Amino acid sequence: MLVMVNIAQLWILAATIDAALARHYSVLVPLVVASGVCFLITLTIIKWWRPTSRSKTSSGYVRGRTAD
Amino acid sequence: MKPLNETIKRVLNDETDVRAATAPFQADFPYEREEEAQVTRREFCNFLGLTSAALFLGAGGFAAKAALDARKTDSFAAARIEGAEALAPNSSLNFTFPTARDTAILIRTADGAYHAYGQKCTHLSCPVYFSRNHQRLECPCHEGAFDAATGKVLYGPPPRPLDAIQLELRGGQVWAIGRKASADEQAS
Repeated sequence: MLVMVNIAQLWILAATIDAALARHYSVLVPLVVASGVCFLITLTIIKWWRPTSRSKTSSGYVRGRTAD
Repeated sequence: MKPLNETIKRVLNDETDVRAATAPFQADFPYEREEEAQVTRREFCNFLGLTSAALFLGAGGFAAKAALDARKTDSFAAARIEGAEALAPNSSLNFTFPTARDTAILIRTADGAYHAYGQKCTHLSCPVYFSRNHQRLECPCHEGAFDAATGKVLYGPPPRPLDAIQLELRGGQVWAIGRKASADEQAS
């Protein structure tokens, strides 16, 4: 997912450079905003994603839970 | 030959030497150095995060620079175009303005009017030439064409009009007094 977002951002950067050189100023802001959204998605994934193995085993057992 | 063998042996045993030099507590947690060299999933994610930040900053930087360049007004010293007075109608003349590196083309249309443009095609900077038969500026590289009277794109891949050079007639002489990069095609 992160790699896909990075590829999308790379494409957006290429479009931004193309638009800047072509002086198509009207599309610059949407492109930068799109890149920012991709960055936020990346940050969100990195911040909130945790491997499931940290809290659960593959069988669903939750580590650290005390027996009731 | 002996020193070479010793060197090879020392290099091969380098890992052992390093391990021997590490802290004693590491004996309780033995690990393979090859595994240490591997990138963990978290490190890879962090790298992708930094890449994402760099791409975002790059896009923002380019946009900011383009916006600044659009607001900047360049002032040029007026320069006389040598030989422009003798230019026959329906012909062109190459010159440079404002510096010797900025190539430009002066056109005198059939009605006697002068028009001047930067000679670099706005697609990939190939030099454009004046096509007398079609009354337009053509780029030979990718078959783009510009209107001789306005500099606007007629067809082809160029994304915007040619740079316009402002002209002024002073006592029968043709002077270049300014050069302006054309703005967005849709906006103009």
